[in-house]
Amino acid sequence: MKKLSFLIIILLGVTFQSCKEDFEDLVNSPNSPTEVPPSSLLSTAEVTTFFVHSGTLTRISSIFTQQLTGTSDGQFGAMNLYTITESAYENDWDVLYTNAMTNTKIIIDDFGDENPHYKGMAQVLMAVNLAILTDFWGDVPFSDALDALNGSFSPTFDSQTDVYASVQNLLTSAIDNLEQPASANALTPGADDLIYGGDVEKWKAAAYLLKARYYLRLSETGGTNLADAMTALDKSQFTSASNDMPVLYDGGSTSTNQYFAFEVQRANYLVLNKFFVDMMKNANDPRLPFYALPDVNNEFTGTDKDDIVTTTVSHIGPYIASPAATRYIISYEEAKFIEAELKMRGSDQQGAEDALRAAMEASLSKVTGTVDNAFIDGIVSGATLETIMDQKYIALFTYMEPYHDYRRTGFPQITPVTGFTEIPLRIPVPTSERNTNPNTPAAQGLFAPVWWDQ
Amino acid sequence: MKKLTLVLTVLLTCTSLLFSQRTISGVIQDELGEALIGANVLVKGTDVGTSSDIDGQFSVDVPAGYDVLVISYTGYDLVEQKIGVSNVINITLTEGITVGEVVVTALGIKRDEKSLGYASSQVNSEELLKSGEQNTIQSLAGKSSGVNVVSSSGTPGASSKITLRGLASITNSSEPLIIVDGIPIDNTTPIPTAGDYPFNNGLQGVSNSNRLVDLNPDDIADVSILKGPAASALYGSEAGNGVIIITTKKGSNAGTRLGINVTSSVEITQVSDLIELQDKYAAGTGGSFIGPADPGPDGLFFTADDVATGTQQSWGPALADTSLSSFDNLGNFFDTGVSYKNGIEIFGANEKSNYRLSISDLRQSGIVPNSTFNRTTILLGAGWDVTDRFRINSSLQYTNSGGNKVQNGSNLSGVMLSLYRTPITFDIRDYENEQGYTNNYFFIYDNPLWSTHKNTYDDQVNRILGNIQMSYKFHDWFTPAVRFGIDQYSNSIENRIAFSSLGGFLGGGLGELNLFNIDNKKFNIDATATGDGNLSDDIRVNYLVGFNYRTDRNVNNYQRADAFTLPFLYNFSNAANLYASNELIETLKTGVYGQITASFKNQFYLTGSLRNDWSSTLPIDDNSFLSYGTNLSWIFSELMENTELISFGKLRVSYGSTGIEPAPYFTKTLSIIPNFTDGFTNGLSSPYLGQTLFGRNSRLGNPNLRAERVNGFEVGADIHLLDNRIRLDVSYYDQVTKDNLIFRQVPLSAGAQDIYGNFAEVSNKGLELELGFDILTKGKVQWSSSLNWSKNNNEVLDIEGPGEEDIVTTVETGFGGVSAVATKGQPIGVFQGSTWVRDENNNLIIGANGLPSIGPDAILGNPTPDWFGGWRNDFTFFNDLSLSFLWDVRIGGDIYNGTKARLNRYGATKETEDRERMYIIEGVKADGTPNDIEITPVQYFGSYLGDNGGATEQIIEKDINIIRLRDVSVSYRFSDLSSNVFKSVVLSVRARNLALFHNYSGIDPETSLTGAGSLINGHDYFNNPGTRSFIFEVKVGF
Repeated sequence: MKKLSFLIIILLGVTFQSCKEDFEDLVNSPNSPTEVPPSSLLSTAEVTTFFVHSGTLTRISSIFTQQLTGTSDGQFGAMNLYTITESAYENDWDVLYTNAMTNTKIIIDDFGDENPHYKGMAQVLMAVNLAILTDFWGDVPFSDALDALNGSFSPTFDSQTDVYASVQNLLTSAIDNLEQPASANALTPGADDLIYGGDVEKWKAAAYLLKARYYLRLSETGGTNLADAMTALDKSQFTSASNDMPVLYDGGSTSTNQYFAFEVQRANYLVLNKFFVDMMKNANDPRLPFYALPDVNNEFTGTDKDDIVTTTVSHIGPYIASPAATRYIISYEEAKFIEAELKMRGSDQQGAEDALRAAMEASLSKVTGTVDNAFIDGIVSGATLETIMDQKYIALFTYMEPYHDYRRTGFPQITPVTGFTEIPLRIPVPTSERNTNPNTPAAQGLFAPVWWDQ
Repeated sequence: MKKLTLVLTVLLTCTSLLFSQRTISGVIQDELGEALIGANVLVKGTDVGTSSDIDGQFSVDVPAGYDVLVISYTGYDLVEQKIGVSNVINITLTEGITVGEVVVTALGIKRDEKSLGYASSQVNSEELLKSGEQNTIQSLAGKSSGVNVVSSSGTPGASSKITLRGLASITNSSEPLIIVDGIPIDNTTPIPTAGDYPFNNGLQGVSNSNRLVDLNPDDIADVSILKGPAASALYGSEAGNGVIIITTKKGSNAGTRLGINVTSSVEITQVSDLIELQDKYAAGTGGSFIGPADPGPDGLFFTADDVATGTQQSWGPALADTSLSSFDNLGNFFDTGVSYKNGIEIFGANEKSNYRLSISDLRQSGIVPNSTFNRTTILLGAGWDVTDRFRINSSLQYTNSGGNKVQNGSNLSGVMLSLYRTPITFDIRDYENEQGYTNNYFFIYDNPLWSTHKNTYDDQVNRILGNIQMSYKFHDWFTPAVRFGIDQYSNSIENRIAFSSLGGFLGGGLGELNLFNIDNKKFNIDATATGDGNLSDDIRVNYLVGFNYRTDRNVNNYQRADAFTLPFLYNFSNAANLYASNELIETLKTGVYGQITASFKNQFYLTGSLRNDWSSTLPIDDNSFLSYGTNLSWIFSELMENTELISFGKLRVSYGSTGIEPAPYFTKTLSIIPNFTDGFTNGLSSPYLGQTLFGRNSRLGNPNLRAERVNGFEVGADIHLLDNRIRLDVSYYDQVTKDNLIFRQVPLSAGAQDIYGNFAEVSNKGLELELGFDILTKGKVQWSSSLNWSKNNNEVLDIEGPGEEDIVTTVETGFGGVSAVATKGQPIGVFQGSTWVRDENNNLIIGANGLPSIGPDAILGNPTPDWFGGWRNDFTFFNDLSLSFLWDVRIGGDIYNGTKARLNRYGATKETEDRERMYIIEGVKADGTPNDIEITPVQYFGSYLGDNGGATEQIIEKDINIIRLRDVSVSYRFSDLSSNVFKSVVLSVRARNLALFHNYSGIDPETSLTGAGSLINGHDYFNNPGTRSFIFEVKVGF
């Protein structure tokens, strides 16, 4: 028995030793890595940005500006009448912070020093997404945000003034980094850069144009913003539609156009708004059949802003909602609209008209495939700021910019839904942020303007 | 491991060196042939004695000159047995006047109930089968205190969720560990999900099965429920939420050489409860009729020739003002389910061995057309005494189960979603157009009948459960044993989303084929040594030490093909898009454990147990944790001389602490394939235009993970009065889950959704009561009645946040409008959602549009019942006819009635028939005067009572009470069989859910949309309805 006991003890010991090795084998997930290269992170950050440019924030912008009407077939009916719950935009806040901002931050912090080109592209993307956050929510966390991995769980909310300074700083730094020679990079972006295929010059042009967009956003806050916008625009080599910063889809199951996916999965949630349809119909705008589907009577119609029930009107058309239809983060026509507005504000009527013409040509050519010069002539001659803003509003159908432009300029002249004197001027910070972050400011109503909306 | 096996084999087969003059051995069992453990065997006139072991076996060395054995066992009559020529004596004890029950405790150890210092509930085979459920978990409903069972839906094979006492964990499963014949088995409810599906697939898809459904309830001898950590500490981790120990039937030792039982039953199932819909208004909006959807000549929507999209709204004209006809779509949809079950069991025994073979076949069809569940089980169990000391027990089960499941929940092809919304002017029976595509009132939904016929979900499980146990008794003080167990199943699912359906993962409308292959393997070894004996006349001791090795391996493979060229060819060659994802999860756990029980004068029993576990899911350099428990039982009635009033009395007290290891792969933060979605579409994911996407997982890992601890204190009493006719068992417990492992939400602005860690503390305190009363015990009519009652108070004591403020964290992602959350001072899983803005007097503040406005989100209700109970009555008439029924009562608990809210909005509920007038919502206007602004019925039912901008608080129904006649059974036993062939014939008729009373405005509120695989409770969103069943059974013994 003693020998046997001894043997058992020895063999139990051996067993425990082999168990320890077994434990070591099972520590790491066989499914997911802990670290990934900057190329994957860049693709991820770009696709996140694509998503943000085709998600709910674009839809609510179009509803508020009465391009679209939300119906009672879905949640947008209530939103159309300005009933917006605290948790309604949680997913968008989530995608922006935990995906778009986080993955760009990893590129900047972990790979940026050795790879300035990756860093510059990440900074541009971060600036775009940060601007979206502040444009919708006002004061938002940034300076001490995105650091949960290091145990920072209660970011403070930066004022919008500071956030806009950060946006410009990111773009300035991005341009510096993009100007570094290729030889200064350990790795250089290529096909993983879905937007420009690694073309640093195009990124630089886009960065300057974005600077112009975000200076112009502050048009009502005084200071040198308009001049700064013009300077940035001048430096931008964003000279044609080939510079467009695209949102790309190919109709695949994980990469389908989100307006198309929405129309299929959430049919009837959104229809065209009467204001927008009438505006285009009255001007005989050739883009209407591309923006809208004919209704049951083969006509183009929209529902009134107060009617969230009727769905038998025009729905979003194939230019926007097709499986592989391209969208834009920023485009050549927007560059020209920015130029037109700046020149108009600078009392350069001819310059403004020329830029407006170029913007409309770019838009019509993109949407309809041809340029209807007679139509453009009728609009451009004698254009005012309102003309420019109205045309930008039409050209950027289903984008976020018209909502920001409306709050800034008051154009186009829309009437809020019955019972209200204003359209909502911001959206609520989501419930989960209030639940978990003690620094979340007290909820502000939907009608409290953000800082630049003065 | 091979080395260990080798040693144990050597150990077990090596020959004993112990000898004696004359050794008498045998088996002690009760009248039913169940082994009695710990029965005293004394050689009369000496102090030589022993006790029976775990299998009822004993072996005693009889000194020369003595020839009588005295066998005693609590609760049984004393037996004096003369020793004859044979050295083997098998003894059957008959139940005596003093009560004592043998119960199965941790690791399958059978113990005299009186020695237990904690509460444990027993449910025997007969009780289990009374409700005729084919899911063992569901068949426990209402039958024991402290056991809360919620079914997910009335479809065949749907899962049931069980919790013992209360929810012990915020974001982990609180389901107990399930042990079958000593082996831990898998009872998960897999929710197969595509790698690129961004949402909680539990909210849609199908009602999946919890895997205990693979067991045939007829094969179960008894179920023992260990509720607290003191009882389950010996199992270590995973037992923190309690343990359910199932023992399968064994071949009888009771003398029969061969027995055969044949059982056949038929079950008829009907819908029990539907929502009442309006029957006066046609499809349409604003009083105008809108005809059904019309896709044009090609039969498909989203194509150029589409004619009409139809509507799901019933705000059209009054039927009386039109020439339209109406249809009873609910009545036309549901079937009467018919199920058949046939089983045969063959069993027998001789002195050395016993065996039992059971084969059963179940064919269920449900109330929803084409919903089926089939199960074939083959169970072979055998025991063999190789020598007097060497025993082998083994059982092997094969199960094939599965069937066709129907789409439900929040899903464009979900049958209830589409069915309830069907306007009365549309006839669902005309479900298919010329091309075979869906024909419906509204273009994005599937016709519910078409969906049940075309969107198939074929779920097949092949499962092997096996164990083998060997023990060798060297000595009373040393019986080593080893037990190997394996539980392996493969689950293959073929889900077809037919051409033209917009359901499925993608909803492209061009067909989808989803293939899931889940492979799950649990391997378990326990090596133990036990011993037992008297230290003196008054002190008796038994011990157990053991080693446990356990691996779990789960493989999930998923493949999808979509966008078919040929409409109904379900083959990958036919698809434009292919997608695949896979996952492997592997864990390892080892443990060492020991338990010792000492008894003093059969009056005091003290048990202590200790276990240490090592788990691969903990950080590698700190992966060990301890569990322990102690309990004391005092049979105070032993002190009493007069036992007429109090025939038995026991007080018990216990304390235990069980560790639970973390979920796998969370000691580090990983990079994963991201999904980007705003909740309306499936969003974007990888691969993307040829690029692979990886981003940081927004669920952060944590290098400081520790095992969480469930600490529980329990006191109780077990008192029998009037010659055991009245039996009362009371327990009070106080359990605290410390270091609860949760996914604590972090501010999204910090760059993550949540972090996994030991952040919470949860308390469960409660009272449990079981009362049995044999009201009539003699004569032609016998009546016994038993009652169980449980109340549990669940409270989150703390969630450790970054600051001082209390934080609120989501339990599991649910719908946009309502979420299940946890926060300090509240029970787990309370509803959070939007509120109405009110003034200081709690009046609604009504805006200029006549509607109240939405305020901030708040805690709105608690889905857990305040208390629940069961009341069973058993009658026997003339010995042969018996009647039994069980009332099941649940009081309190709130439900989110998303179904009603949506149907109000669409003008489909009965209430919306009152629509020829304007409405004024009670409240005050901004200036404080009473509201007098009229709103339309569409606004009233849509934006106030409905979910079209209505506050979530309006949609939650409070204080739901349910009283249910869960089962009624009548059976007749033919006692005078003058046949040599038939030994017994029993005819039974059972009914389930014969009566149901509740104050909920929806369907049967014992409902859970998301099933047992989910942590969400009390969500009703187009759940499948409950059922009422009648079962006719005949059982013949040969």
